[in-house]
Amino acid sequence: MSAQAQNQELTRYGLPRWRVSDVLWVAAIGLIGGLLYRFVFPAVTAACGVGETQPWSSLTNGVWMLAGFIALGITRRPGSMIIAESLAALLSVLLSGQTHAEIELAGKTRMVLHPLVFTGLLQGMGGETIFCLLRYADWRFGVWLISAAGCAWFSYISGIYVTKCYVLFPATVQVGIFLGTFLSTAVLCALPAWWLGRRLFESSRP
Amino acid sequence: MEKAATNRSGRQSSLWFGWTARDWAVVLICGVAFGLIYRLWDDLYTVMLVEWGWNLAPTSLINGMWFMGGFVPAAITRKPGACLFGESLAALVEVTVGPYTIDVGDFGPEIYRTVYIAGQGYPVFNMVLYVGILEGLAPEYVLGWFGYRRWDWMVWVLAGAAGGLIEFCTGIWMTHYYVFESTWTFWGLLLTSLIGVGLIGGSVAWAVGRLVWRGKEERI
Repeated sequence: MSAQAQNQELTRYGLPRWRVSDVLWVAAIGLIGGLLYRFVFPAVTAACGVGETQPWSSLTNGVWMLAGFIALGITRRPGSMIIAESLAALLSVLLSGQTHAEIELAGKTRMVLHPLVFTGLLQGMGGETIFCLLRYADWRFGVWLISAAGCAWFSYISGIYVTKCYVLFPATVQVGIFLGTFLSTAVLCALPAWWLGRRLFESSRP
Repeated sequence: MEKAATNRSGRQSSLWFGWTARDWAVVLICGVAFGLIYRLWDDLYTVMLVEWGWNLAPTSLINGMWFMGGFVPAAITRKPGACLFGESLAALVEVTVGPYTIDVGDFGPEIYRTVYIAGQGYPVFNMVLYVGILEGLAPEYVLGWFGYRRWDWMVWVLAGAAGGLIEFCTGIWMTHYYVFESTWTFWGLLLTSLIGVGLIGGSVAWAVGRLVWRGKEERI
C-alpha cells in the first residue's frame, strides 16, 4: 500500500483515520521518548553546558517536544502529538523515581502527581492546536512553525504556572526564554517532523 | 477570500478557518459578555464557597457556567476556533475588567498577580487567563476531532467532559485549588466536574446550537 493511499483514508468527518499501525507508532514513540526524556536528554542538556538557572538553556528546550512532533509527523493522525507527548512525560516521571511533588498550601505540604506530566500534556496540546483548527489537512512547513510557536508558548506557560521555574527571571529574560524555546522547537522538532511527513505522505513527487 | 490550501486528499483549509463577519461578531460579543458575567460570577462563587461554606465538590455541578464563553459562540457559529477564542476572550475580560468588589483571591480582576517562591514574591500574569485558554482549548479539540461536522448531544457532552477534565487538572497543578486533605472531596470534585461541565454544560451548549441551527443542519 502506497503512502499516498494511506493519506487518503478519511473518516466521514474528513479527518485521517487511525489504523492499528498508527497506534503502535504513537505508542512506540511515546515510550522511546519517555526513555530519552529520562535517561538521555538530561545528560545531553547538561553536557551542552547549560543549567536550569541560565536563560540560554532554553536553546535546548526543543528536545522535550521531540516525541510529540515526531509522532505527529510520522502518523499525521488527530491527537497523536498529545498522546505521544503525554505518554513520554508520564513515563519519564514514572521512571525518575520522583513521581510526586510537594505543594505548599496554607502552611501545609501536600503531595500531588509530579507536574511534569501536566507539562507534557500542555506541550502536546499547544503544538497540536493549529493542526486541529485546520482539520488536519494542512501540513506545510509554515503550519509546523505555528505549531512550534504554540508548543513553545505552552511550554513557557507551564514553566511559569506549573513548574514555576521561569518565574525567577525578569520579564525580558522570560521573553528570551520563549524565543529560545521556539527557535529550538522549530529546528529540532518542527523541521524533522515536517521532513518526515513529506517523505512518508508526499513521496510520489519526483 | 483567502487562498485555500488543498492537500493531496482534496480537503480544503482556509487561512481564516472559514470565519465570516457574522462569526467574528458573535464570538467577540459572546466573549466580552460572558467575561463580564464571569466577573460577577467570581463574586457569587466566592460567597457560596466562603461565606455560605458550600463544599466545592457539589458546588462544581454548576461549573459548566465557566465554559459558556466558549461553548455558546461555538454552538452558534460552528466554526473552528470559536470555542478557544471566545473562552480566551472571556477570561481576558474577566481578569482585566470590572470592580474589585470583594476579596475573591486569585479570581480578582487583576492583570498581574504575585507568586511566592521561597518567601520571595514574583509578578506573573493572572493565571486565570491561562486557565481560561486551556478550558477553551480542550473542548475545541473534541469538536475538531469530529471535524467540526458533528454537533449532536453526544459530541457536546464529550467536549464538556474534556473541559471538566482539563479544569480539574488546572485546579491541581496550576491554581492548586483542588489539592485537599479530603480524598472524598478530591475525587468527588472530579466526578462533579465531569457531570457539571460535561452533562449539564454540554447539554446547554447543544440546546443553544439546536435553537440556532434547527432546520438548517447539513447532513453528513
